[in-house]
Amino acid sequence: MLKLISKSPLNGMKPIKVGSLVLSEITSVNMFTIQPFKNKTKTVSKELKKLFHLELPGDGKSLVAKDNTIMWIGMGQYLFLGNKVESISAAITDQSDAWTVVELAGIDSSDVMDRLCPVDVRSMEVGDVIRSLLGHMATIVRKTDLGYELMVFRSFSKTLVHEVVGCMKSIAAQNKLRGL
Amino acid sequence: MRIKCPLCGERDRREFYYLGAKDYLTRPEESNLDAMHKYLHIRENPCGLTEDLWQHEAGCRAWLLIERNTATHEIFKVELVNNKKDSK
Ligand SMILES: [Zn+2]
Repeated sequence: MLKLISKSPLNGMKPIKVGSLVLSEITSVNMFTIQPFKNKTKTVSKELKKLFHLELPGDGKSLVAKDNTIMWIGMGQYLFLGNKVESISAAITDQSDAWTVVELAGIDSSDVMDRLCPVDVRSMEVGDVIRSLLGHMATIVRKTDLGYELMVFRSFSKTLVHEVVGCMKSIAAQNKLRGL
Repeated sequence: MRIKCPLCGERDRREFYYLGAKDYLTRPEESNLDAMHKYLHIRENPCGLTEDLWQHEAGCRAWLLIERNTATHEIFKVELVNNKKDSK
């Protein structure tokens, strides 16, 4: 039988290196949004604890346990990455393949974010999540050890890379001029 | 102008969508045509204190009830509409 090859949103883009900055695609497995039913937030936390040793994170936070990550992505809404989630007291929507995820890494990554995002991302700690804008795109930003994980709707893939790489080049060029 | 979202913290105005007066929270019976007309079309246009509805569209997407001064751009209060039990 014909086996179709799945394409990642950036079609296996190789990491783009500019100066000390690196932009790489993160291809994830499963992604689900979890929206707890009315008054079921605590129940959902208990269910997740039992299944994955995770609970619903606080506003603007994310939690990681083994291969699973859960992050707050808005009022009453959480994004789960990793295993398949089913049969909990929440509305679950499969979002696999719907998002483009990249990581912007490097010591100058905050300089890039300064130009694109209206939030002071320097005040974020590792694991913090915000929903904001990147240029004109609605974006989820998560602080990582090396920089920032950026998530946009899959149809914005090329715009995301275009915007971020443009800033990376500009920052790297200015650093070079200053002899950094 | 910056708005302090109860969930996300202080954010730039460009992240928010403006709907209009808080009258939208109290929808009258549809059979009451006069009230419906007023609800849909009649608005105050205050210079000074006003309460209106905004959505944190590019953020957490919560609907917010904001008390502000149209003359000075001061913002006095930001509340989650969800927390207001009397809203429809
Ligand atoms: Zn918000």
